[in-house]
Amino acid sequence: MFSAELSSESPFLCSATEVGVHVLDRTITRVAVIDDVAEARAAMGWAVVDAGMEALPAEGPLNDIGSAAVDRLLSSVDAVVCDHHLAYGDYAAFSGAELVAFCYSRGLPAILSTQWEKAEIEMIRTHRAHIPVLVNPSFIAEPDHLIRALLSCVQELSGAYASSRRPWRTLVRVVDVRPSSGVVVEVPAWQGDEMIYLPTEAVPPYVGEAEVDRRFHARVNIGAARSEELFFLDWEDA
Amino acid sequence: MTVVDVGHGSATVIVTDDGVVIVDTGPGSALLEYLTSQQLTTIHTVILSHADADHIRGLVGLLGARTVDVQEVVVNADSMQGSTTWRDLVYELDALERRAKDGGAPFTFTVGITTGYRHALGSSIELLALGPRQRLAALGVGNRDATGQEIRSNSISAVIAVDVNGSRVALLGGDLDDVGLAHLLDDASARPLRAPFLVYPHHGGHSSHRSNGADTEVFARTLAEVVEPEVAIFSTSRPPAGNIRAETVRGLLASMPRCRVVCTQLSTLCAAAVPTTAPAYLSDAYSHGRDNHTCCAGTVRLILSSGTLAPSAADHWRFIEAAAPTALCRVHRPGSAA
Amino acid sequence: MTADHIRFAPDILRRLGEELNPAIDQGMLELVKNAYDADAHACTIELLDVNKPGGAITIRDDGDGMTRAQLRNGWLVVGSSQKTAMKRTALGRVPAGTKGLGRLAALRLGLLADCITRPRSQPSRQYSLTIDWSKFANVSVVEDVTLSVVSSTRKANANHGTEVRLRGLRRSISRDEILSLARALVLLADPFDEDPAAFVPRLLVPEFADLEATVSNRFFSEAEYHLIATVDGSGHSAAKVLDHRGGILYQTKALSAAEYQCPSAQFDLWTFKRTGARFMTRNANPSDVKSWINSFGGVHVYVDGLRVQPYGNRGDDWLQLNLRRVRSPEERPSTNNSIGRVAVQDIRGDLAQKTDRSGFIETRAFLELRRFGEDALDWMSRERLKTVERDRSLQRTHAVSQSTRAAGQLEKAIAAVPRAPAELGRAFRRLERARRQEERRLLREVQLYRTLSTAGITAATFAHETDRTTLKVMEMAIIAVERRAKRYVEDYATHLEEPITSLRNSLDSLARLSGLTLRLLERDKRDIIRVDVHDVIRRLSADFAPLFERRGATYELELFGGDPYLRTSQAAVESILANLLTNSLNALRRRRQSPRRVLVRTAVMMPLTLTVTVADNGPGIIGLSAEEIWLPGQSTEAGGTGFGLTIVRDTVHDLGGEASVIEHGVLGGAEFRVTIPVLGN
Repeated sequence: MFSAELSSESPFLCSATEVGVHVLDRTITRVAVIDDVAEARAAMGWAVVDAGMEALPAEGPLNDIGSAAVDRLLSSVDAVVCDHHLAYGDYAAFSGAELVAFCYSRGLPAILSTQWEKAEIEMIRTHRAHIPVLVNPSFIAEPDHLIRALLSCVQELSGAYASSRRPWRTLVRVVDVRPSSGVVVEVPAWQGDEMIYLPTEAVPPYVGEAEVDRRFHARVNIGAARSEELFFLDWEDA
Repeated sequence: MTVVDVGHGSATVIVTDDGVVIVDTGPGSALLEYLTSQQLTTIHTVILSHADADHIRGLVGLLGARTVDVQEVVVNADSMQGSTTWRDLVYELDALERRAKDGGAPFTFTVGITTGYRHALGSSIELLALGPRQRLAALGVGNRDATGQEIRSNSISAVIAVDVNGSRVALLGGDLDDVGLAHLLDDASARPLRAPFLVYPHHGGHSSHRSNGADTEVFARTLAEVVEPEVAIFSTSRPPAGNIRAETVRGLLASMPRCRVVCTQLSTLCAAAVPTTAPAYLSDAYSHGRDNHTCCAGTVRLILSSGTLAPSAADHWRFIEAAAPTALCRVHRPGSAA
Repeated sequence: MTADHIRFAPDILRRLGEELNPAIDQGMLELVKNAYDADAHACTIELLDVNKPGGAITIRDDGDGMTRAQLRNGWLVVGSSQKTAMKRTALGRVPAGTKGLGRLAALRLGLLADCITRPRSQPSRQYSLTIDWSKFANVSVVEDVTLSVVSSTRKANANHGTEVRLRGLRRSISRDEILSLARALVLLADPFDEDPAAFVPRLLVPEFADLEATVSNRFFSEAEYHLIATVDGSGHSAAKVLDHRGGILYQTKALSAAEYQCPSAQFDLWTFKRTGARFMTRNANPSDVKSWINSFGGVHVYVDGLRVQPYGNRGDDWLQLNLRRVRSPEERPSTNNSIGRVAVQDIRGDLAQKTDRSGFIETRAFLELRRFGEDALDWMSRERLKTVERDRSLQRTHAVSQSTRAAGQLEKAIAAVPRAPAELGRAFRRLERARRQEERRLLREVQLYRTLSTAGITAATFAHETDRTTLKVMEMAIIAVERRAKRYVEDYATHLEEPITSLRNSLDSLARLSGLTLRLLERDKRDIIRVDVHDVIRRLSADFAPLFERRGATYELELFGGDPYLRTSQAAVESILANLLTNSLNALRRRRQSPRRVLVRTAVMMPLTLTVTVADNGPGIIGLSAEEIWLPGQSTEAGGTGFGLTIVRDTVHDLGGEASVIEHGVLGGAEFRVTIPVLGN
């Protein structure tokens, strides 16, 4: 019943069946919805159902990321939609970013949602290389946006990186050092001129302690359109 | 010769059996993506038409990635010397030099392109700088020329002609502005500007630092009169970043009513809504707007020997008719019903 | 009839070698581990002309060497291993080498590989063998290349051991790669242990000597704290923290109620005290300690005495020291100020390494080992925090009693002065009264600060629950309602479109407002950095825009055309402007006529002095003098704290500037003017 809506978006890549959505070579039928607030799980579930899939709101507590509860949950679904904040209620001992990165290592499509608080973006950036899609929850409350987000995940998991996600070795310059908290860097090759704040624990010690104007190389997805998409891998000590 | 859809910015890649030359490098990873998609790993020469921070950034990215070997870098003018971005570039050039010493490919770096600069690619293709003149470049950014006009970095943007077997095929306009154009016109008797293919300066945006629509239209009309292009290629991106202007297209078509207009991306001025699909004629070569459906022509390929351009006029026109209800190239064509 | 076999094209050698093990140091480490497995004590790696292609590498050890059969059935067989984890060597070492793929990659670094070996068991024999890789290019299967092991008589002084020579290197080895190899070798056999019989690999390059000298520095005695946590074979844990003299500070008999299902292990972590970039040391040179920690910081893992990468490598923070530090920055070690190792005795072989040598497979045993390490860190930080808190409250009590004691002493001294004028006693009592008054005022001010801070902390802590989550659910719900209503309800446009649109719009503006408190509290806003004043003003103005809209006031922003900056925190500049804007919005509640206006203007009156003016068209200052308005607790607004302007004044003073007010300024209402020195425009 939803196929008309979906096919207008991406006629060849996605289509809906009775229950489940074909995305590339996969059929996504069951989607785990992970959030520490029951109402939020339900609300996200409506979008999942309206998109033609089955929503599995994950009841807590999920304990730590290596727990049997998490393993059971992830083994029983084809995709995951997860909020970044999970640790407030007695729900999970990990953040959504950690879980989505974990799903990535298991080859499971997972979408992370957050309400774009600056501090969150900085924490998420540490895992961002393994988070293909980061969206505002109300964005994926629209079924066709949700499907498109899943498509992006599946494409990346199958090795087709969007240009905004492909890391390239590139120059990174330190523009400010904030004692005990982190460094502010600029990526000259990236199209934006925003400075990026990186907390100390997200960079190697020699970067965290570098003086202003020191230059390093790291692999950065310089094709990204917005600063919150940037991630930094494989720093090289100059 | 390929004008790569790099989003906001420009990059032109010329591939021959005798080597690869790139003029301007766009921002971000677009050029790197393109080179990867075409499996081009050795670049003989990279030319920057001018040294604005934005252009240096692209080159810093190209050199840092190390996915391609760059053997020669030629940067026009040194107006950015002393800036942090310039030092970023020097840092990468140093690294390249160290690698060359360590047994890597040799490479050279030159600052300054002025009228008369030549770069031959094999026996048939030659790149030739028509501007800036030495004395304009020597005055440099921040000074005023003999007529009292302020020289900006766009004023001394290099304008490069592409000649095949001695006949002019294309003109790469860089970011040329009205001050720079005045100097080119001054020289036009010695160095004619006429070319069938024009890669339009400054992405079709404002052509004067006064950001004045009337000036921009006059510039377009004047430029089209002397170049007489059959095809004008605009490396422009969809806003907010993009900047092709209605005045530009109006001026161009006023002088050359039959000139074909080819834009890499689809401006919001041409279509308020993004089309539901990308145009079918996009090739395997990378186009920055492909995934977001913001391509118009996408990456544009011109076969220099035959003058064949892809996408073809018919395919491209069909897409414009379907997807761009307010297309500038249609609305502003003299005699158009709109 | 001959039997058929699967045979391999020579290309498989490249695939199994270079492609599986791209990094030079991994391959070299495999060769060194072979020496370890052969019970060698010394192993040297010599590099010759490696800065360009064609160079050579020699790896020489004093181990058991190989017999012809061992050479043929072990060394030359790719992918099998004669070693089993359970069987130890004569020296009691647990064999460390693996399937030989890393070794294959290393052997293929050059065009030629030689192996000369002198077995311990045959004192007069020497076997040698040369592999010429180019020969593999011209054959169709690997087995077609024949290799011959040459047996010869050993020279009299030649000791047992093996020498592997890689000649005609295919590519140059960069300085970075050499450094990385040197670091890996230094760390390979636990350098934190002092075992004379230990295995000592050496790289014969100057960089190695430097690194080795650095590691042998052993600044452990400079550590502020030394954490020792142990877990035994049955999963019982214990931990203690020692001070720099070895005295026990804290101790526990169990880190966790649940037993750890991991092999027995000891976790040592030395944490050093530093302020900013400088280490606080007792004897050593702080910069030596810094470079030592820079080179070897992090928590390294040793299984049966041999290091497992990448744990503790630069950039690897497997126990998430740094992340933990962010969650509670106080009293936490980070990879920048600590060095550690986890030494595991894996008797049962529970920890399995990945084929590509990039660490352990994340089995239960490994996850449990990690949990053990993390629990130990958490325990230590909890104990340390408790101490810090105790110290703090002690200091407070101490300060008060000190002042009372001093007053008592002064009174006694006055009494003791013979024939002291009565005036002196009276003056003292006046002073004492004033001091008490000041103290009470300060206490009230402190209480107000605490109340406001509590409100702020509560708002910030529960912002996620109170507005973010609630808003999120409401937004998602209304989107679902709209979608389903359009689909299932006839006459949607007539009956539902308007109320649903109104709900969506209200939610939008609520969403914009809800972030304001949290944005003011962002952690890095309190860092002292270069602050662009116009930037902060613009951003804060955007945050306040919906508030102005709600209050029906127009907001006019006039910034002069420069970019004034100074070195302070963003929070300081925000505090000034936010309080002035709040003040104006409050005052405008008492204006009866439209329009309500607030003007913010910046200007440079004198060089390097910025003036920020905030003016409104409210009633101006009435009921308080222009002086009193700055005092804490003075407010004419219902519900006002009387504190905002005090904060403005204090912050401006801290910045070396002046704050003043005109009762009726440019717009008729109050006009506040703040002047602060800046570093540039």
